[in-house]
Amino acid sequence: MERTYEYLERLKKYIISYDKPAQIMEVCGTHTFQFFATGIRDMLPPHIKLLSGPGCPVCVTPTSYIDRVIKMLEKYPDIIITTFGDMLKVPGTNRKSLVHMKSEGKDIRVVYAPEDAVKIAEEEKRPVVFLSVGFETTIAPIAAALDLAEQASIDKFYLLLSHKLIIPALKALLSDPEAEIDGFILPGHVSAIIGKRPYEPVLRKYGKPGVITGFEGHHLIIGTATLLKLIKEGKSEVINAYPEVVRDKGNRQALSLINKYFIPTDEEWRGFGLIPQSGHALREEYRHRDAKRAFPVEVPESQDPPGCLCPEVVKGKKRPPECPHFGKGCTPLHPLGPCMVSSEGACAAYYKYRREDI
Amino acid sequence: MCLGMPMKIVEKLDDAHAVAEALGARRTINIMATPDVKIGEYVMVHAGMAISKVEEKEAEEALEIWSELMNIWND
Repeated sequence: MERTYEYLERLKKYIISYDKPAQIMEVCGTHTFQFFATGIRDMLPPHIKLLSGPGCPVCVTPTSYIDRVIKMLEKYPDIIITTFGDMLKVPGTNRKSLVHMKSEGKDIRVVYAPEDAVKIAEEEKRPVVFLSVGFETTIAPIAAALDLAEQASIDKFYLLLSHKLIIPALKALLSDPEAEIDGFILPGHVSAIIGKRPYEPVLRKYGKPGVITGFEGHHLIIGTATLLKLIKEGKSEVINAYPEVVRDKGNRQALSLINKYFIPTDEEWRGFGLIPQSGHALREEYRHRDAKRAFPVEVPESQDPPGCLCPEVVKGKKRPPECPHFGKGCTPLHPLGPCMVSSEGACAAYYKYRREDI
Repeated sequence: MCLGMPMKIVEKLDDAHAVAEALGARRTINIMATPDVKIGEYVMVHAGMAISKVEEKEAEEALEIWSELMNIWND
């Protein structure tokens, strides 16, 4: 125990006395929150900058997705929308959100697990659409829920897909000539699914290091210190600093469940536009579960909230306090953009912990 | 992006489900991605599914990686 303490103290001293400027991206929104909540962000010397990345699924879901759900609810009034709670307040075009639709009497239910949506479909006689939004960690339980619906022949369960895959997003970030990222704190729980290996070719190609990091204070210290050391030594390695949860090969069962139902396809991201092979479509034999196909609607061109810097924030190019709306016209109670809505959004994190910057 | 909760397996219900416990609260979770998990073991739960077993330090792979990390700091 004492040895662990000494080890952490040593890493902490290394971080505090680090003498070179470095820009680190924490890809995952939960890391953004944890860097604030643990106080480790305040411990960093001023020349080490933390940039929040695209790992907040709600933040990178395009406005057109919300607009589609609203159109579906208007055209097919008997459907039940099931969703993770974060999606409710995300503004669509003209700031209309699912909260507004719920107040108009539409049947929108928040679930904790995708499987809960399958149970609703089993009990109700009406079609149930699950808002299938998330990265690999969330796609695994979605695939498991779909598997149960298939096994039990629950026909009225549909997915409205907006899956996001992390490796194509990292490629998109790094191929941007304006990107100023020296290394990545890589997402612990996405890595539990995909493992360490998929990161290696992309980070090697761009000569950047990455450290797979857990979410507790000691994880953040180990991850940050190790990443800084790799940056200083000019190494583009990927290190798994969360081995108690992440295996190098990832989770084989989860990956095969995902591959059973989904195939990669081009996907629209807020801030990035279309990223090749960065999302999912249902495999042909399961296309009857596709809510987009089962409940077609015309979605007029969506409009992002004017002046909202969320598209730049998810790429690490702007910090939330740089947005003219931050903390003024845009607060967690009345969000203008999704980065202020989600419990993983960078704007929500800054609002909670850094209101004095306003 | 993906908050997880470490939970202890207290009962296996079928091939796909188990009851898990954390801080005195119990709930049914999906174990399709960790089918060989045993009662008393810990799993990381996200959106109702065990996405990984939480290994204690005896896991060989984990030890190798920790020693890799220690080597970095022993330079």
